[in-house]
Amino acid sequence: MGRYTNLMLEIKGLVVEYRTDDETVHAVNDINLWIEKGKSLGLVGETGAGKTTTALSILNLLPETTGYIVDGTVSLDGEPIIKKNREGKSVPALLDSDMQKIRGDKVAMIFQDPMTALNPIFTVGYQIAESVRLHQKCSAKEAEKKAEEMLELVGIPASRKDEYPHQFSGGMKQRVVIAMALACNPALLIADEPTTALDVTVQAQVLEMIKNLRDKFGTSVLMITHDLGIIAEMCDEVSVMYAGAVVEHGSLEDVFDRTRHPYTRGLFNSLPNIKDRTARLKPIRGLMPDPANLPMGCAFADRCDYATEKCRGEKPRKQWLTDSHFVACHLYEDGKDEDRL
Amino acid sequence: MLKYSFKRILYMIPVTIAVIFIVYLIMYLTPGDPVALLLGADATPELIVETRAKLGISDPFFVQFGRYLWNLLHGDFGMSWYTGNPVSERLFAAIPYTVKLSLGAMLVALIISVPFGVIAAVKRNTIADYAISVFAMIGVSAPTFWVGTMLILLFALEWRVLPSAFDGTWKSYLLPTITQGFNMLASIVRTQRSSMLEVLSSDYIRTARAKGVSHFSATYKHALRNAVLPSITVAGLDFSLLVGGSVAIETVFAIPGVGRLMIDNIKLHDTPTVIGCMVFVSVMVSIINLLVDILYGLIDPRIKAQYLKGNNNDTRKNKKKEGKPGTANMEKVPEE
Amino acid sequence: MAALIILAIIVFAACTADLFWDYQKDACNINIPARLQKPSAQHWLGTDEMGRDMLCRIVYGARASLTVGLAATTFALLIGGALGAICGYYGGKLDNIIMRCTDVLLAIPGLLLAIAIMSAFKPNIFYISLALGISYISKFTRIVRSAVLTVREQEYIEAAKAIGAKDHTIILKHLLMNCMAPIFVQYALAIGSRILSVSTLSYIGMGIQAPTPDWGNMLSGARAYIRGNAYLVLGPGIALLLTISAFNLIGDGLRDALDPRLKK
Repeated sequence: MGRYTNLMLEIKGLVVEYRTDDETVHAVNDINLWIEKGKSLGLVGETGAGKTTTALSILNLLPETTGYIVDGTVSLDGEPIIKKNREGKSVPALLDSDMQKIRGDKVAMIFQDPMTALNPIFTVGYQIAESVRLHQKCSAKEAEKKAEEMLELVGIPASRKDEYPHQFSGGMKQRVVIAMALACNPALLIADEPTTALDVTVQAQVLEMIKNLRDKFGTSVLMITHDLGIIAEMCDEVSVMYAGAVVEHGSLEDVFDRTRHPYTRGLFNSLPNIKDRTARLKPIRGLMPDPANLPMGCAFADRCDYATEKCRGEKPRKQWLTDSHFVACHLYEDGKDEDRL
Repeated sequence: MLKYSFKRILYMIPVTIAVIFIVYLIMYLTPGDPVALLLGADATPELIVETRAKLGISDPFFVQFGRYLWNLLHGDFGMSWYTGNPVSERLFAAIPYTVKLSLGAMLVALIISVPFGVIAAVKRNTIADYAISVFAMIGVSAPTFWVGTMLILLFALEWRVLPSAFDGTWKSYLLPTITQGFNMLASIVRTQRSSMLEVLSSDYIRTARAKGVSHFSATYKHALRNAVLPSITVAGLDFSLLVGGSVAIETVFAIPGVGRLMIDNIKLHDTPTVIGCMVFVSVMVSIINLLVDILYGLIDPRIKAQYLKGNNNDTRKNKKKEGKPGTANMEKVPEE
Repeated sequence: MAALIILAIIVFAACTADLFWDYQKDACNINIPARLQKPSAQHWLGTDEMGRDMLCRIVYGARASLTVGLAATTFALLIGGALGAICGYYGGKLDNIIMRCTDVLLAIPGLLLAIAIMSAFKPNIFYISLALGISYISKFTRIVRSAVLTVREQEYIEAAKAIGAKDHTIILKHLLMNCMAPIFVQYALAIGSRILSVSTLSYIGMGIQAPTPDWGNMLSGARAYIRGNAYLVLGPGIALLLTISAFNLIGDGLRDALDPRLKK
């Protein structure tokens, strides 16, 4: 990937498992992700595809007792977060105390459910100011002022800073979460399905706000979602994830106009067609495989209209079709960029 | 908050009246004649009837009940049917012991149990956790009077560190207080542990860590304040158990408290004394419950908001309903 | 788990005790010459202050505790559960009244209420169970009410109503079946709690009376003699501890197994 320079985020060969007494869940299976500075990457996939796990790995915040980074490296703005030690094992590159300095400051994350993301016993002003005080040398008063600024920025009157989370609606809570995330002007913002739990109108507002802030501050964005509409609105590049692996990646035009992978095509096909109301809905048949029990070959083979024996037996490798567009599918083994669907 | 407290205090009045009603009714329906006991074997039937009329024992229930309430309103607890002396004499002499024991026990329980519960949660599945959990299980399952007896055996009789007979000195308060608080202590340790585990895995803790909050701060600043709430609830609910258990404790340690006074006089069928004790107990329990609820409101702003809205009596029940829709509520109600 | 095994042993021993001892002779009759013997080959746990074999009395004592525990709890469940279900399902004024009554009952510490009730009757197993059952009713009422309130709003209740099911059918079949989990948990814990209470009642003399062997009254009888005779209190005490812990563990285990939130 020498074609990409100036990377904000680079993930190589990441493999993450959750190990419990009953089973081992293979959440992420060898993925590569990268985001250039100032650009936005959309990470698309259904629930259970491993998107949140990937995001948590960037922050090294996997649940301690069950989450294991088995392989791969992660680096943020050139600095390693997960590296390989002398024995070749993937280990955290920084002590937790150093990671704490990065979290919230260099990279910030917004989670999916705004209803439970805020601590109910602290005021919203306090929670935003805490973020500031943790990362910037300033007095409590200055932090409070900054918190007020951030609230105004996200469209909440600063006078509400002493109110508690339960006094806000879902949409406003999410805005508080965004204010908290952006308070220290992070270089990378990870947004994990930030609007899924909100009404459509509120969704539009929140997205608009993220876009404005991104444009204003030049933040790089990792937008995790299953909503293709959001991707179209916000992102420069798209990675499509399925069962813990990236099956297709490219620029917005690559993936939307020149869809190559059957799964991605399936996602687009399952959108209802407003122009043809009588057309039947075309869902993708079947279900995602159990991540604790992944099949030997391509994970999508069972649900794929184009699957062959080879697909079931052998995992497809990444195939670059153009400079910016790759796909992991046996259909394209010859590397030709043709529409075979 | 003041208005809320005031409403609760007012609410105590009908509750206390109802308590008096129930207990008086039970005593009324119970066979047993205190006067016969008082006057002894050679009392003539006429004398018995006369004394009973004098004390008002023969009057119909509602007359007695009404008269008692009226007197109580004037601060008069009535005369003991057995000794003939004012009930307030013995009652007020006994109250300090019971109050010191019960409050002391609750404080000791809270102060010791919360840290241990937190340790057990933070060091989950380690030896420390198992040891604390086993200890807590014993504490919840062992009858307090047995614990008291064992402690006396150990500390007073074998090692001779503490007095075995109660004599009002602070040393002699130690064992009874610990014994009485033992059950609540164990109960809170368990509650605190499970509540802490639940809070530690909640979304807002994850948010805090994603913000850059340290492990320590996330546990002790962010999580603990949330996790301590169920423990406070348990302390409040279990207080009535604590007071009930004072009967046994006062028997084991020979303490002249309200519990002893009550059962002694139940056997003698001395209704006014018994009712007097019940009134005291019921009021004390209600006051402690109120204090616990206020404390809860101070810590959790959501509850405070509920109080201010006027939704008072269901708060304790609401506090515990955190179940997601789809599950029947697994309340962690303390055992008696 | 382990708790179930312990419990099984206790119940088994209690039932088969008659094979080893004669109830009247060994458990009840006073035998002064043999009193206060320390544990030996002949008397594995020693003899009590009346000369009776401790092991024998401890085993027989299980009967009283278990009987009262089961009886009181079942009684409390039937009445408290019914009340709670009615409260939760119908709501409104009825709910209010019943809950206020429960509140009043809760203002009286359970043990004191039981004592007051016991003072009215002869202290036999029936009345003891009754008294202890009555003082536990409010707990079941609250649990069942809370469970019903949660379940009531579920869609399948609306669905049942939509097809015209009668009220009492809905309550019995749909609601209660889905509330079973917390009820089971509380049932196990309640038995433990009632056994604890009956032992306390017996200890202060208002429960099971001598000479019927009961762990509580055994401890009370030993009061004057404990100095130097620790075995007198260890035996019954540990029996109580084990039995009550067994029920508590079962309750805990049920709770962990049945709470869907804990399944990770």
